[in-house]
Amino acid sequence: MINLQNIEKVYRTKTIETVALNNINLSVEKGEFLSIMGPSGCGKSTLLNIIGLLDEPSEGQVQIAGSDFKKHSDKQLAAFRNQNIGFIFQSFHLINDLSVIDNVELPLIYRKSTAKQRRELAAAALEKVGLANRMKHFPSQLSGGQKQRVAIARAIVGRPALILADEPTGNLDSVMGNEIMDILLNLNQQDNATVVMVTHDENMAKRTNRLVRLFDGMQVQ
Amino acid sequence: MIRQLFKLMWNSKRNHSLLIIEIFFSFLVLFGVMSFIISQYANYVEPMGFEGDNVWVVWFENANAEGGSLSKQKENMLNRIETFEEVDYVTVSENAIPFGGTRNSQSLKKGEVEVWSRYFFGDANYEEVLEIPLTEGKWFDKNTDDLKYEPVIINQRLREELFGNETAIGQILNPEDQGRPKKVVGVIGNFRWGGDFHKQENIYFAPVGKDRISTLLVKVKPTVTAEFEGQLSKTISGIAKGYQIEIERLVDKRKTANNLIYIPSIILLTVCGFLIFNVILGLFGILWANINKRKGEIGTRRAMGATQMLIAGQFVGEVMVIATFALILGCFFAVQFPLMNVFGLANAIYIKAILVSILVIYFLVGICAFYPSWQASKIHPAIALHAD
Repeated sequence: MINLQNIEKVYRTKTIETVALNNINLSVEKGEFLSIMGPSGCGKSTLLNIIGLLDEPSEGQVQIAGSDFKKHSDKQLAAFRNQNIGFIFQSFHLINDLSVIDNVELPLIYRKSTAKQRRELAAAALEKVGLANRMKHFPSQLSGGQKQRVAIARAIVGRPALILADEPTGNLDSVMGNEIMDILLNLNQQDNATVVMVTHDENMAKRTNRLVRLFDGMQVQ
Repeated sequence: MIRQLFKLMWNSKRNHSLLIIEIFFSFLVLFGVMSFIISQYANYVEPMGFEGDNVWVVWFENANAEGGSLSKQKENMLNRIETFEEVDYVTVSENAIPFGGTRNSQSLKKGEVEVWSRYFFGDANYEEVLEIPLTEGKWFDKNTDDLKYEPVIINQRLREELFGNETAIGQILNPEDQGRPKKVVGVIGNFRWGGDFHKQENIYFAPVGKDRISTLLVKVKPTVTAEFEGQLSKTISGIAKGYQIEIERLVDKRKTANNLIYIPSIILLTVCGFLIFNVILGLFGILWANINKRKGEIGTRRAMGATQMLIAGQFVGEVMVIATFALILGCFFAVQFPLMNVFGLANAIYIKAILVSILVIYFLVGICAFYPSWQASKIHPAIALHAD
């Protein structure tokens, strides 16, 4: 599903050169649940952004679902993200002025679909995360766990093959964190979705198929 | 996407209420100014109905007070002026001086129809001096003299109001003061005596009294020099002894009359321009701040599949939706003007002013929104996601 070869990411300013990722080689099989751990600033989010085609590596090759992403246009990358990748963020990134169901519909707006189709898919996604009764609510009316469940519904509404989660339980207490983890595991096991999750939590990481550790931009496990 | 834009903006209308109010008031100011400018332009493009480029006005000071004595020299004066080869025509006018301002008006009755009209006094040469084309009938002459009826020339507007599709020539009109009835002998098109911006109004001409003389209109050849003005003045002074003579060019009077509209128009446009410039600056600042606050959302949208163009379109679209809310509110008030016939302007002028104002507001708002939105679209998604 994911194949990263010799990935290097260097941030350059006029005076400083910072190596965020150094010689990362990583393969993730379809249906695998991979967790990435490491101390703050070790390059976990950078790696996730590169996998999610939100950032480009300075060196190396990114292959996702058999496609090589070296010379793709902004439009092609956006279309690929929209069709194949679902994102979940630590701080949820919900749009406060849109209702729960409108937030979930967001990825579908960027593809050809009717309002009816969007509504049906969004309702089904909310059903899946147990928030069917909160469709008309606004994010400010939800708890942290509920917000993250909305974010998950938004990530899965387009039926992506790959889900990228950047510390999805980072802002939640352990009970809510476990609930979110259960949903992600469920998606991985029942829908055969490939999940790559960045986490600081050893307990969460232990529940995944495989763990990759980063330190100073290098893969150490 | 458009539906979601409206939904998003409707849900956040309270946050944008100040912006909506700002655009709403800008629209109303613009609508007012545009109504004024469009109405003046509509007048401007109408034919004047006469040609006054080479016409001089000769004023006799205190002429009205001693008109009787001056009337003795009238024939002699006109004959003498007509002998100059520089002069094409000369006419006596009591108050029919274009661009000079007059207040004479009265109601005319035709059966049950009663119509207000302004009126002027001219003589047989008036038509020639000002090159007024007749559309029907003829100007006054000896054959139109009638003791029972006063012959009048009416303009097209008055003709339509009084007679509709009926023939106007030969119709009898009764003045409100029960005076001598009037008989229509001719019809002219326009006579916008007040200047290039003067609106059409009902007008009729009646023959000037035989003994009356307060002003002369002299049509001179285009090649005349300033020396001739002195010569003419001297000649007239020699005949109208005891009177002070002043000669004025009709083109100068026209400029003065037009300035009465140009100057307030420029002031209005300048004030309106400053107001709108301030609104633009405010709008630009608000949008810039708003976009900076929403970097996380930009990153999220990019992650969900939005292209740079769609991000720029999202922000421009949002501002357009806000402008639409303000314009809907503004239009509600603006349409009351034609519905209630405020200020007596034609409905078409108000409609045009509304449309122009809407276009200007959308254009300005679009311009304001474009740069910050374009900048927003260029924010790297990975950076945007970590901005919050």
